[in-house]
Amino acid sequence: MKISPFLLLCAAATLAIPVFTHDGYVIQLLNIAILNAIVVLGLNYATGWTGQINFAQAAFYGLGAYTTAIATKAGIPWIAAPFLSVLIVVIASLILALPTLRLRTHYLAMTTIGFGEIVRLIIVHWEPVTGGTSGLRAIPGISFFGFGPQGQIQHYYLLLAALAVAVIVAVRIRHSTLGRAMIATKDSEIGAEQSGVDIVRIKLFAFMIGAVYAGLAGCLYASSIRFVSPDSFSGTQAILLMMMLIVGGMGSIPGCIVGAVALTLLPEILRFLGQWYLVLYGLGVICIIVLAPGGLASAASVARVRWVGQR
Amino acid sequence: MLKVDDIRVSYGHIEVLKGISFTVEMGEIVALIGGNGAGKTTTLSTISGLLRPTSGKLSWKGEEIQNTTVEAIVASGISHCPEGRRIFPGLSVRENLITGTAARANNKQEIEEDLTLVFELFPRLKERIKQRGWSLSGGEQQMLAIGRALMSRPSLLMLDEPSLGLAPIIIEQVFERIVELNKRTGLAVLLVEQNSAMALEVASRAFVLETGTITLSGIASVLAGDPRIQEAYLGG
Repeated sequence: MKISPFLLLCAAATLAIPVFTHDGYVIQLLNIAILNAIVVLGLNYATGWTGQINFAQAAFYGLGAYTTAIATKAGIPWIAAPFLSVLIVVIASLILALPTLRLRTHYLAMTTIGFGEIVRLIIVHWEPVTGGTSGLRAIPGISFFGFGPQGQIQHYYLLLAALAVAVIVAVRIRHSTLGRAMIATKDSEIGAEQSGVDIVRIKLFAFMIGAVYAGLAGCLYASSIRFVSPDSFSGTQAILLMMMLIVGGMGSIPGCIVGAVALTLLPEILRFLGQWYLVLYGLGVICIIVLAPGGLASAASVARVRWVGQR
Repeated sequence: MLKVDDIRVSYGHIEVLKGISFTVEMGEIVALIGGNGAGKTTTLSTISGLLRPTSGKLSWKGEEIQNTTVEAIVASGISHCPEGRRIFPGLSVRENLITGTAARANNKQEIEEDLTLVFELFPRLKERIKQRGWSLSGGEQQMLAIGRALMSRPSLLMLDEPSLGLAPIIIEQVFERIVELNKRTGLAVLLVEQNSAMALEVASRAFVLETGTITLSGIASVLAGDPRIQEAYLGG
């Protein structure tokens, strides 16, 4: 992939943000936006590329977060937490995916919503372990054998690094046999099968790698925010993640990031509107969907063609 | 090489193929002709494993394949270029073609060789190599679908209505390529066509399928002269 000057400029601006603001609240918000971007990049595998609707992504996010929270609070060294979180979400995604991947469209959507609800109910009702509705507090922080980020700005850079890895992996997969097979499966399942693509295996892989992204983001969430509660991983969050993907642009890696960041920051930016913010927020999302059906990413590429001309 | 033996296929309780038998030998072009709803596409879909026969046997290179998965059938050398093309609009021409190699071991050099072969056959595709599938014309999409089917290195290529929706001059070109390929590489072709005149011209043997049974079969050039065929399929 060629790295454009525009991309470098964006990266430089992102790295420079903490130079301009030391406001803990702003940085914290950006940290959450970065975590959401990783989760949405994960969702993009199954939904954006393979065309499988997945409302279970928030549940995988939650499973990853709670696994890390419970494990590190029990005294397990932090370095083991990402592995545990990944293990749990991989098992959970297999439990969800194996019986359901032959389902399509709204049937698959309903099953994944049901799965998300089951996970939420377990978190809420298994109080001795999960803390129930009040969640878990004082979760130990990130620590690599005693070294760990201190303060929100250091966390910001660590999470950015994690996002960079998530993007690089996504780009590599998109241009591999797996990535082509995913998009082929979305475009025409029969065409893909007749080309020799094992579509059930591809769908399973897309679900699992997406769940792994969510699991790892959940792990980082628990140990950088240091507080988890069921609200952060509810059905509403699942819909929000889907909206980030749609607004940003299904199937576009920059779109996933832009969508996640925009929809994480927008409610805060609109906060001055008081209870009216939801109205404006909703209108804004509808406008994007109507005016740019392919999401912000496609609107950007249309604009680029107009200004710069066809490549 | 391919032996279809008394195959029956049903959609629900409606029997579409009522026990058909035929063979395709190495290196020959066989045409399957017939009107709408005769069961031509069903026949191809059954051979490629998308549909399961209720009874009967399919054997390919001496092995029974009626219970084999679609991917394994592609890997064993039968490639199906489906009706309506079913190319991947979201992938580039090159990516569409490479996806056709999914069933075999991924060897970069082999893939490049196969791409060269497809581009020799359809130079238009090379001009469009980076374009997304959706931006191609109908004829180019058909070429892409055939090219993709060839990427799995088949010994039998099944073509379902390659002339559908194409201008006569493009149809001519596509058929020329198919015959060229057959002569050069010995690729066997099972061709399903509504354009019976064209199909009988390029095929060595042909079968006529009518509402799920084979009613006529024989040497293509002889069938083309048969009054029943002339009346029903060649417009008198």
